[in-house]
Amino acid sequence: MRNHNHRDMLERLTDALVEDILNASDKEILSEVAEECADPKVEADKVRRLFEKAQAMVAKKRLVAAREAIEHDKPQRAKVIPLNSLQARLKLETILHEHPEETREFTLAARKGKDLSDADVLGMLEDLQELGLYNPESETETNK
Amino acid sequence: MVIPISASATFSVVEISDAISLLSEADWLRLGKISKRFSFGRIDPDDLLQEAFASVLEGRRKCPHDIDIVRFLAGAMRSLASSQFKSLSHSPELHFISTLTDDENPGIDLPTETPNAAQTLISEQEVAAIHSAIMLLFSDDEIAKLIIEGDMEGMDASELYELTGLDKIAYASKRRLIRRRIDKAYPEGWTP
Repeated sequence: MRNHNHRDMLERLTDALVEDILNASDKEILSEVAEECADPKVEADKVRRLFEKAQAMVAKKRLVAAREAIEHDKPQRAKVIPLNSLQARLKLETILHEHPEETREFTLAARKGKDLSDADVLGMLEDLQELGLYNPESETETNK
Repeated sequence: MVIPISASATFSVVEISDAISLLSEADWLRLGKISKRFSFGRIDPDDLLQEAFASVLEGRRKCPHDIDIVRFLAGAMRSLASSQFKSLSHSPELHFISTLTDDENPGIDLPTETPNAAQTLISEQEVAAIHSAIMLLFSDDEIAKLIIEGDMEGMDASELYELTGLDKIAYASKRRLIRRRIDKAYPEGWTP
């Protein structure tokens, strides 16, 4: 059963009027608009501009979404922890001293640390870090 | 210009964008007129139309190949306006205002700012006043009044032919007269 409240009735009338607009010939539409305003072309351009605005808006949204996706996928940059040569050598010595069993594989020369280059020391600290014997982040916290 | 169409049942976003950009001057004007009708004088017709375009360009609404694009966009506007009115009708400050019954596509936001529901929805009293004013517009034309009453009841064309006794040409002519007179009385849509 059809609803008889005024709003539904007005909506059904609106549907009929829109149907009539859709079925009207191009000539009828153009002449009607010419009667209503000065220039149908100006009116048509106004509507076309709404489409262009929608295009721009959607393109901008896509760009923002793409940028967010890139940001989301970007790998976290490795944290750089400053460590000078002396600190590094002292740290290496301390660890080797505190963990003699776990660091047995390190050479005697390495244990003494005398002939090691800075790069060797840092390399060994990285190895110790992988073994879980050295945590540079807790080190920096302590130094603060 | 011929736009190549993909094999799928609906236009792709690129296809629909190209097709809309090539609409005729009359079609742009049709869309402008339709947006005013569906705005019910309260939603900005430009916002309504722009949102309909956006919903298609974002792929939220897919236009089947066998449907006229202007008709499809008209349907999108109708649905968006209906959703807007429906969401307003469910907002807390609306309990003194009667509600809409259309359930199409709830939850789609229009870009317009809506200060509050009471300012945006036409009240049932205002709708009743518009209804009376429309009938008064055609007080000199009983056939037009019959057609309008039939429209309001949701009658289709065949039922209206029978009701009015008009042939196809006379009926089309009367329909045009009705729309033209309403357009002049309500150029921006149903404003109270």
